[in-house]
Amino acid sequence: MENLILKWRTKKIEGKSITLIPVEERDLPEIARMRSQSKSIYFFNQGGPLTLEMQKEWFRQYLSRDNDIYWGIHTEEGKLIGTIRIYDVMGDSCEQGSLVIDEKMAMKGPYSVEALLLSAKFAFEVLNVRVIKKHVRFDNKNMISIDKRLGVTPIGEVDIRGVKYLYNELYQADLQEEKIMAVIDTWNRAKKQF
Amino acid sequence: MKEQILKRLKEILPEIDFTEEALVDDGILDSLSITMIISELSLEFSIAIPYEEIVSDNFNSVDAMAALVERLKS
Repeated sequence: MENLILKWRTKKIEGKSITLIPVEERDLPEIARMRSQSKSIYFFNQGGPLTLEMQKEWFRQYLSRDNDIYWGIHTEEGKLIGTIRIYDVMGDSCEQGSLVIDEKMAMKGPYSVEALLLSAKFAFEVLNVRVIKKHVRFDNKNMISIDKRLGVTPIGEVDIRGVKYLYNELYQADLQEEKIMAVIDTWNRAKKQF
Repeated sequence: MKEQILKRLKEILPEIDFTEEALVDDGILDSLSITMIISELSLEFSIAIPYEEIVSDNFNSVDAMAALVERLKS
């Protein structure tokens, strides 16, 4: 399992509106900027902006681990607009999180949902996990709604640093791939038509 | 125009109450729903919706969406 993850840290995953590309050192200033936007600070309950030095230190530790993959989310035009991560890969489960989309781009396309879909498919099909665990802050209405569309099963609530988070699980059989891809296909058709 | 938009929106997102007037700001529309609406408006009215027009003010209500379509068609 560990070797598989390290191997995939060099590979891109192509989608229809985005490409997931493993994060590299050169991406860190932009990621630190996005992680310092107000919604990231609030929904990650991180207490304040993330400095480039903090992001670099986190990345150094990430490179020394072998049970997570951290992707940059890139548009068709090659612009880095966010991140997503599969982590704590252990046995037949993993976590999905660290989803950030630049606040300027959040409404402009199906980027977050395709990033969730691609990384979930990677976990199920490449890592062969049985269940993906997900935590979302109780008042993150957008992500709660997107997770439901993705097909998650609500399990319960947990306290993380004094804040309530919803704990959901996602199983491969419940993944709403066809419905989500239909939306992305229509969006692509509309975008390319004009 | 407004009736035509409302009819299409009800077809693609029947679970949403489109009489609300803060559809985005109140979190009634998630980002995937907004993507669906952008696609439908673009295809239905043969318009391109530029990135700079994809802001919550233009999607908070059916009236705002109708005004956006009118503006982009003219």
